[in-house]
Amino acid sequence: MIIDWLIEPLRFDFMTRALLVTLVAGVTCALLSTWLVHIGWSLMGDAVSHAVLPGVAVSYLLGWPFAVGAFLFGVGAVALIGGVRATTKIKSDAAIGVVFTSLFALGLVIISATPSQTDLGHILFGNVLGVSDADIVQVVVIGAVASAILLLKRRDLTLLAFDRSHANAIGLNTRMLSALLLGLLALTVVVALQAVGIILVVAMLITPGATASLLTKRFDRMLALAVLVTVAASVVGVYASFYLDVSTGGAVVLSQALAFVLAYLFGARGGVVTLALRRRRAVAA
Amino acid sequence: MSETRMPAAAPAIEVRGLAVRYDEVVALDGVDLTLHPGRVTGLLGMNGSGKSTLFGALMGSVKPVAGSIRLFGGQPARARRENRVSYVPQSEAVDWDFPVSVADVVMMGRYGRQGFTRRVRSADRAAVEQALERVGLSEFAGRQIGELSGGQRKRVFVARGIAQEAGLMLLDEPFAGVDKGSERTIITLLRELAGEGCGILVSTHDLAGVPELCDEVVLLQKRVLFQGTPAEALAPERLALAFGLGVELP
Repeated sequence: MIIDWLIEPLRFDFMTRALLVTLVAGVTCALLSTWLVHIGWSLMGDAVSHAVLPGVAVSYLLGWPFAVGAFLFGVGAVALIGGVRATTKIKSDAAIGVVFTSLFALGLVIISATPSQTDLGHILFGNVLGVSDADIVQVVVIGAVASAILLLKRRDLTLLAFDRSHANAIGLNTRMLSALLLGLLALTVVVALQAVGIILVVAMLITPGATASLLTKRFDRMLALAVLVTVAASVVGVYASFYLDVSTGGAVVLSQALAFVLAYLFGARGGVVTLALRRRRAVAA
Repeated sequence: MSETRMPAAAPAIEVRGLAVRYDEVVALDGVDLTLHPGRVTGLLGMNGSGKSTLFGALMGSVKPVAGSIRLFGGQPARARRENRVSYVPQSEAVDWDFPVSVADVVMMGRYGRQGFTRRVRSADRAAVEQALERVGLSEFAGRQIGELSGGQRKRVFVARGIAQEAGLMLLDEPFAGVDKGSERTIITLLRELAGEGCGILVSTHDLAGVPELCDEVVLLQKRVLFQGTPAEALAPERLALAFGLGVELP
């Protein structure tokens, strides 16, 4: 019975593709999010995801793979933000806000000015049920490469997040490491916007890391938990979208939010309910 | 004063005419400083006197506009790559909620000796264990760093420098927020390390501990006002100079 229920959606080719894309995008985002929330770059994730819109539009116009334009604009946004910050006295969040909204607006204008098959709704909210073979190849290859680099360099990235001055003191190139992480952020956004769209990418980039940080005090375990939570949420979300006939991206992100709420209430590291129970037990004893 | 005693070894730090500016603000202006291995030098000066900037310049995170820095007689970048420079950050500069254990932090001292992915070898594990034992924190190896007292937290970072086998240790305000007992432990430890040949530069506000800790004191106010023995440096008229009582500041 349950087996049938689980297998039924997978009979449909578009559902297996959706699940694959969501899982690959989710895992890549989950890994990255663990560093982003600890460095304090969550807002950068938001910025880069919005800033890729003109890149996607231009890619469709010129017939490029969507990833090329999206990546160029993602990296461009990071460079622009860094440039504004370095050459003015504008605060970091304002620099981020000015740059990404401008690029997002540019994307809207390009799309509205060009009669094309580009569906703005699909770019903004994802169209994981309609991904093409070419899209799937891009997502899987980019996702695998980004994940592999993140895992291979995980100790250096954690050092960068924790203690930049020590990284400098032992001669590591912290600018290169920051650039690497931001480049991977741009790549990951490119992957994830296929699954959930531009608006919800930021959820995939923040929620898993935030959830995992409520559950453990060890970074390596946090990475594993972020991935685990995301895989569970992806499966739940994709199935929910099939059986309840709701937006897939929305259902996946909502499942992640549910995991966060559970961790918030019952997490081992200061869950609200956990602490209350512990206090009660302490009083009783 | 020590030149006759150790002519052969290159100074751990040799700074000449160092100047650092942040936009229009002058942070350091013509700093000259020499620090020999095996000696503890105290760096005294009020807030904004450029102590942290000097540390930043030594570690390459702050770019000077003029002057030269040599570490162990060579290029600073090379000394850093060779793991000869270790740093104990100010407490405020550390995220104590960060998900790393005591042993994780000390292991970071070994990164420069490890390969591309920082795979841990048995020599690294042994160095971490020894360093933790040395600072008396072996039983806390698995603790998250925020679960330690102020003095223990400092000792974790000193242990990182020990595991790194660095010849130069820079400590930025190591006694802030540390109780007297822990301060004593840390002073003893730093004296031992100096005895083994490590050059140590400590910025501190804690004047009372200076005579016991330091062989030498540098008074800093954007430039070096004085370098000499603790007794000379702590003379009231010199302290007044460094801490700006009754003198015109630039």
